[in-house]
Amino acid sequence: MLEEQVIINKLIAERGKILTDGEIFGKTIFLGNSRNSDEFYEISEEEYEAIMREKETKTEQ
Amino acid sequence: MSIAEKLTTIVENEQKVYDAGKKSQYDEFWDDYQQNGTLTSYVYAFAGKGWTKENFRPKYDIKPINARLMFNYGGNNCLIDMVALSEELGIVFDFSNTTYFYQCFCGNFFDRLGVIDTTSSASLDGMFIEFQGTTIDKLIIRSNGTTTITSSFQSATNLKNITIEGVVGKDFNIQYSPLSKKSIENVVSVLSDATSSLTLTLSKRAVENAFSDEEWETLVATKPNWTISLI
Repeated sequence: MLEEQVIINKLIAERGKILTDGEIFGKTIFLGNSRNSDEFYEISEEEYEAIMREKETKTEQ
Repeated sequence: MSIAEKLTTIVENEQKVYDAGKKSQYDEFWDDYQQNGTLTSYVYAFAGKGWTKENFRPKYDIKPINARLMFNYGGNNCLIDMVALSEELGIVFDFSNTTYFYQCFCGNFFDRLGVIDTTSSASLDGMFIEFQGTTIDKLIIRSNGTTTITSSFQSATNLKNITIEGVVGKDFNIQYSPLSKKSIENVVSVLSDATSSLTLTLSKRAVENAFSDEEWETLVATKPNWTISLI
């Protein structure tokens, strides 16, 4: 029997904020073992929505 | 035969004659539209608003090679159950040779899709944008993890039930879909174990509705090579 300890790095955005690394967006992010928290920063929900609108516009084009 | 007998015969057969006429119209239309069952390019085939539950009754099996925009925002809120229709009409929807799926199922043509085998296609880009259905019985993708599925479900805001068969080996965003617990478990289970630096994005509300924190973190721990984002 093999026993392993799995550590999950969990990032939680402050209220009204969204976490991002520029590509991924989330209010809660469970980091894979090749990622670290330094890669992520917070943006406001308004900024996030503006980014999503821009992405949708590009998709439609 | 007297005139009275003739009139009686006509009245007795009126419905049969009417039905035969309708069948003839049905055959003529679908024989032409589906090229007697040989049609393989279904680009925009059912994308018009004139399609309804009453008139979308294909005569032949549907086996597209090209299904681009096939049901793209077509129909008038049909929300058809593909499986039930298939059984009723005795036809199959067979996508196993389909190589193009762009915006195939956008909109509200179907509420339920059956088995959609996409293994002949490398990309499902845009396939389910704004899909308004609730259920996809089974989506079969390539088992080598090469299917692009990244933004295939953008704004699929009603999708609750999905089973994916195959391996997800690329970023996968299904954040707009209020997936059931079973569906979320399935999605996580098919994430490739052989990749790194990939991300799965799910609806935070769907996850919180389905799992306790402990259950969820146990599930996340089964894929330590994936970053899983909830939004």
